[in-house]
Amino acid sequence: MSHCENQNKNYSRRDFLTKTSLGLGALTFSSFLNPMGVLGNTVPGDGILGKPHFAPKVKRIIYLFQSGAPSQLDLFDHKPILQQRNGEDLPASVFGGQRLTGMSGGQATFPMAGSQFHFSQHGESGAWISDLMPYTAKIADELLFVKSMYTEAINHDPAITFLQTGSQFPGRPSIGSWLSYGLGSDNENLPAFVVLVTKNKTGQPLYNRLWGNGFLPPEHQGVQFRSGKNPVLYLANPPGVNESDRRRQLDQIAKLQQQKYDEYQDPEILARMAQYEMAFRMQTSVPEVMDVSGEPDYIYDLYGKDSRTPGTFAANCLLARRLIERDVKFVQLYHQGWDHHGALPQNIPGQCQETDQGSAALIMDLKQRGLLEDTLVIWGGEFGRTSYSQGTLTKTTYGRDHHPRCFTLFMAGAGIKKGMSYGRTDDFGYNVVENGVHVHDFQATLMHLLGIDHERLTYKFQGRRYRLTDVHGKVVKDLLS
Amino acid sequence: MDLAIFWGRFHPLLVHLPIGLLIGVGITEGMALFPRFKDWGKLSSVLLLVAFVSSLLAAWMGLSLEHAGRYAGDALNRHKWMGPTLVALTGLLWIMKKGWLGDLSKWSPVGMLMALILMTITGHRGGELTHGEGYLSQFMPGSKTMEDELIAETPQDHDSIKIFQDLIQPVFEEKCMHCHGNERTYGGLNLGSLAKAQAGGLHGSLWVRGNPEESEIIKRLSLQRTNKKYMPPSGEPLTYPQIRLLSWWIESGASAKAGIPENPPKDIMAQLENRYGIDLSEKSYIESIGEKIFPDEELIQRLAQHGFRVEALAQNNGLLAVEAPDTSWEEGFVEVLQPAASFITVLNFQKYKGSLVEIGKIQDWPHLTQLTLMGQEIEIDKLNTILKAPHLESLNLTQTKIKGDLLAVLQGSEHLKTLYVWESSLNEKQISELERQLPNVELVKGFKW
Repeated sequence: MSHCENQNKNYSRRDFLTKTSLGLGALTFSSFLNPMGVLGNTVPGDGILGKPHFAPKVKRIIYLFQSGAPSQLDLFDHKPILQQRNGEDLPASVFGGQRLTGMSGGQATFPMAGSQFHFSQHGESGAWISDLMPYTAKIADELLFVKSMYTEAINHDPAITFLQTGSQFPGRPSIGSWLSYGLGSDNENLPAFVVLVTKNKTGQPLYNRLWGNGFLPPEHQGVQFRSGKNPVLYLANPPGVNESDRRRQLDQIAKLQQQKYDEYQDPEILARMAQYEMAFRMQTSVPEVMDVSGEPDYIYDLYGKDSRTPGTFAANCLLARRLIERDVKFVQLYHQGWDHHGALPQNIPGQCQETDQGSAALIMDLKQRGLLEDTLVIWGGEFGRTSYSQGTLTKTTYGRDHHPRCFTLFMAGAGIKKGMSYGRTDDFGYNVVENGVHVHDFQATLMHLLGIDHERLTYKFQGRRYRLTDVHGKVVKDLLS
Repeated sequence: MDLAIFWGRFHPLLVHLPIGLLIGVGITEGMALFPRFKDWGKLSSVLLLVAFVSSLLAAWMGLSLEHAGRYAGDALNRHKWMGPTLVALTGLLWIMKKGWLGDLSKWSPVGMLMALILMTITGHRGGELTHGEGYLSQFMPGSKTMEDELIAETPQDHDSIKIFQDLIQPVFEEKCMHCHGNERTYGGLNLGSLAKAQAGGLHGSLWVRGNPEESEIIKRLSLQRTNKKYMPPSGEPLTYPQIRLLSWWIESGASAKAGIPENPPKDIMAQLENRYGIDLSEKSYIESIGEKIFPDEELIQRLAQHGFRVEALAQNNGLLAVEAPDTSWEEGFVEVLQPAASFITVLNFQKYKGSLVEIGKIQDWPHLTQLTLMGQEIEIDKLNTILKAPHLESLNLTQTKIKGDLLAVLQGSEHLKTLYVWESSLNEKQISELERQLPNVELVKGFKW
């Protein structure tokens, strides 16, 4: 039923654009018409699919994105050979003529850089985790490590864009937008796709197109919640306007819009009216979800002392749980600052300290509430880092350049195996030698967990049907429980 | 003997010399029939002599090669007798040409023709030995190629899969049968069918049932690649999973009928899944049941009217996930829920504010897998029916006030995997008792560093 309505919506929208014959002008007009599109979806369960293709294992996802690319070789992918042969040149046979970035490609030597951090095995599963991540190590048996991730992009922005949208070029919808489009929203008072970015971090820039809707209807774009007085920009009433004023204003606008709708029958107008209403409801729902004052002390203890400071990663983890509890479908966290080209041993401990406890606490907090039954948590960056040192390797320091050929991410939660490490890289931590998981495979697997056949959630745009995984991607069944 | 094999291997090379010469004789003799080219006939005797000597040598080499044991079977036998016959005929022709047989020489054109026919057949048989039967005809227009056959044989339904026929034979076909097949049987070994493979080769049988380590085939496949006896000597080696599958099949009795058992070793299971797409892992109950059951729309409407939030799991699965409203109990809930009970697989009372006693009145929760009573107050003996739902996998009693004997009601449950008791009214002693009595259930007690 709702499926048909949405079909109509697509056609009418295109008809509308065609009829107005304004080309690009019409496009801008359309986005002008719908400035509140930013405020998320409206009716629960109104995704284009109606129902998932098959029974989902996962209903919600929290993606803890570690922007800048954390070094897998110092956190999870233990390579004793690099430590034993520290300083020797990485054998040419290992490179195999692969491209390097301009930042280290010109180096005369490529000295292997063994991690300066101590690794040990944790949990019954014996997962290798370095001392940098003590909290993650404690929950090792809950985690599924994929050590054989690989990507195609070699620089940050294309790589993040690739992971989030399935294309290295900007302009495609983000994962969360696809889910909102396909499955709809489960909470009529909050957007289906919420983004939280750690405050006051520097590093590789994050653009809001990373959580953009691309060519999908605008209500599917991610909505960034900020710490502080105004979690969602332009949502609060301006000074001097109270709630009843706003209500009367919206009612009047709705009448005007209804008139226009009666005249043109353009569903975009209905969508826009719904978005205004959504924004109105969010004036209540957002402050409610952002108000963490009711959280008991032991929860703050679980997430660590950072969690008392709004805008930190740990505080965002706590918010992520609150959003998930309210059935937000996709919560995306970003934490910048992992781009350790130099002085890695000096810089990485701080990054770990900021993220380790919050991430692990989030997983366990979800678990004790039973939310891990249908929630998936993902932790990882956009690519890996090289096993050779960028710049001079000294006794105390080294740097690592971008490395798309292998990286590690971990997941926890519904539908996947736990206490397992999947895939293997070679002894030099350079190439994947077993069970490689391409970014598109990873995306296909996420979709599968949500009950979506990634080949069947498509959107026709500019004469072509697009999907998250483009024309690639294979569900990695080995990861599924 | 090794030296004999060394020379023997020159057979396929040398054999082409008499072939060429005999064709040459055919041409000279044929031309000599025309008066203008009469002189050509003079060449014949010398050509025949060289053909005879070289074919004699080639035949000897061929017989030496037989001892190497690479070739065996009917095809070899035929070739083995035709070759020397041709040698003898060539010698005879030479003698005739020399005129030492008097009048009989007039039959030499007939003999010549016979020699050419015999040579063609012998040569073809020899070619079949080295290149395999059907080498010439394989790409003849209208013939069925190997690939067509392979596609036709790919198994579809995994209940009917036979390990040897469907999983091992194709590997043999791809990697072994070039030399050990119906066409060529190096070492006397033919892997063309299970019966033939069981017969073994010149070195005896291929496998010892139940004992892969003692089986010749496994030994040969897993030798160092540099070892002379390593198989295959050239071409793509068998992969570890292929060898492992074969060895598992031998271990479990090497039977033609062996299908896929319910619980193969884990690595075999993973391989079956990864390589052949045969998924043997235990399906969650929802996946096993859903496709057949769909509630009618009216039922869903009625639940929704009472404030229940209802979701059908999927397009191909009509089971329902239901969330109770955040109101207190209303008259008629039982009447609404009872008909729905047989479709509900996930039931969540987290937001509900009221007594749950009535729920106990609902009989039969055949497909319930997940029950959340978070934050509620429950009396166990009042909820007997729902807590004893036969397929309950997850029971969430987080922050729940529990009255009664939880253990007693859960003890018999076969499928319960997870029990959430964090911040529930259960004390530590009760929890550790549950832990002890329900060893297969993961007890989630809350988490502190």
